[in-house]
Amino acid sequence: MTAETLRLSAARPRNLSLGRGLLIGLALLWLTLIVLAPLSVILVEALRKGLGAAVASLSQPDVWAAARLTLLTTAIATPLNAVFGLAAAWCVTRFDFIGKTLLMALIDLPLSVSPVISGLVWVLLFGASGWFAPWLNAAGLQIMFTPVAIVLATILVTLPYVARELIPLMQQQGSDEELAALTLGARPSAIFLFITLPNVRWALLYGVLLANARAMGEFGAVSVVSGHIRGLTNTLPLHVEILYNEYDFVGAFATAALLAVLALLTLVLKSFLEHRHADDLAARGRR
Amino acid sequence: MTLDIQSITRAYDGLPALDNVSLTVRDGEFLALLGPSGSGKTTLLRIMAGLDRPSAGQVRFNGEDFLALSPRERRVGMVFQSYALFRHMTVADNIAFGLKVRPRGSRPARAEIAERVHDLLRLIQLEGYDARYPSQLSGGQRQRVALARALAIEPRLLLLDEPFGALDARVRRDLRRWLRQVHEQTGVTTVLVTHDQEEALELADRVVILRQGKVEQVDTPQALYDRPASAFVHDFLGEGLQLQATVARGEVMSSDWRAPSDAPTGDAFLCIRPEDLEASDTGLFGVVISSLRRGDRARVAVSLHGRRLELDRAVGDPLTILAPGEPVRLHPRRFHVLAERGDTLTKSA
Repeated sequence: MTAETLRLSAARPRNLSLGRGLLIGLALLWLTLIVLAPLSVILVEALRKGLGAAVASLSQPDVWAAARLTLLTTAIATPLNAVFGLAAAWCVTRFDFIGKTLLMALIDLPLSVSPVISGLVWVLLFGASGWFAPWLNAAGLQIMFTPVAIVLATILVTLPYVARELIPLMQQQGSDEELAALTLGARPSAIFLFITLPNVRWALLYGVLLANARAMGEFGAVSVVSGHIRGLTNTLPLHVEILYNEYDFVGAFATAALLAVLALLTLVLKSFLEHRHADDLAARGRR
Repeated sequence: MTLDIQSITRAYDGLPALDNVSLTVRDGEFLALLGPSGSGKTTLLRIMAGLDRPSAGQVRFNGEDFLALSPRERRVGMVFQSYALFRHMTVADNIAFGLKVRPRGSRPARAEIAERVHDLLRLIQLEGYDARYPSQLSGGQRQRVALARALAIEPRLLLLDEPFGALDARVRRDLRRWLRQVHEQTGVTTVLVTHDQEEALELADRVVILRQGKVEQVDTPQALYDRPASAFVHDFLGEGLQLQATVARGEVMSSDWRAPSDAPTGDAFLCIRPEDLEASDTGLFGVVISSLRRGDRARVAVSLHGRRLELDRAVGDPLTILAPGEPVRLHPRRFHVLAERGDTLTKSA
């Protein structure tokens, strides 16, 4: 930074302090209204009849079954999409082929269509009168209204997150490092492990966390394919709705709080990694 | 250890980037591929490295079919224009990479690798930089690390793709001298791609001039200067005049000027270097545009047949006495009568 820009950046906050304060105040007010207030309502409502009641409603076996299913779904969908996202990003940024634009549009599709549609397509494929129904019936297989359908719907909805994080980064980095490794005698597996993966590791983690948060919270697509069988095909978001519809407000809000805590954990992890990522980059650039 | 390139053609979407190119890189020589952008020089280099494949033709290394080998098997060191250093690895790890990824049987021991890295750091004059990351190095330092990384695998062939392209002029000059030294120390056969004629002429034993995917001329720098094969080569290798001319009955004629020439009858270009022009009673008609003195040298700009030409002369030369606006006749002590492309005409002097 030159002396000139230093002076400018030192002068700017003082001149703009009034406008700055106003803007920050507005942003905080907005966040309080839109994010903090609803979040605190969840906690307040959950604890309305005391901590004991909240804990009691959380210890219902149905809640535990829903939490287990949510975590299981996430544990399957997230790694699969991490692998797919990495493969797709690699394909799109390292090769030219016919249909590349189409592939990129397809990767984005789950973001632009309603999650309800993402659920409905599975019904159309595997439902009682779906495309594969005759074959499934003959084999005695049931996919709709089972955890399998929930996992499939979740995978579809969270499909874009990892790829979308990786594609711009890999485009910007280019393939020269990989080609250099190739001429130095590295096998493809070594190039992937020692060059490609380390270069995208933070973006990959970030994408995985986003996909993870979305997988845990998905309602629309899962709702269509789940069948809402308590203890079997109910995920946490679906269970919140069921409890609420049964006027069990404490139970509904306590379960919602549990879900919020899971999401917050992901966010905390994300912020922590972002922080480390920034340090990592800055340390290399600065020294 | 010669690399034989036979009738290589490479087309992208029907457009030929390389058109029937044949070339031999001799053992231990420093060869430069020189040409304007789009001449196919980088494509040719990438084919040597195995990063691109020709549509037709053969590449042989000591008689061995090079095209049948993957880039991994060729043991060819390549330095990229962007350096392509591994950004998350230290300088030492970058240099050691090619040795560390060898299969267990042929991988040197850890101590041996460390020693080799140390030797290379000394060669590139970056001792003590082993723990730095590429982002902490200057452009010239990165360039040297990229070279050390390529040399670490003891390549049979070293390929350099515009290695000084992103550096400023001063660093470029120093690195050029240093690169030539390294070449003499290591003796490794080297191919350099560049669009900078000064770089090619200063570094290379032989220079290949490429134009629109074809070889225009292959020769030593001195021979290229003395005997350019075409007006294009003459023009590409430095400042000069190319005037429309006709050859008939043993004479070359360009508007008001004629001289004996053994070039074949027909249209041709009369090619003259500014250093070969002298003020005279005979010769080409021109007008002095400006005359600038700097110390004991003067830069005289002359308009000649509608072209502007800068002549650098010692003060006291007849040309330096003339004022702007004055007419002058310039006699070429040496000239070439050349075709536009290097195929038909022979030259005369």
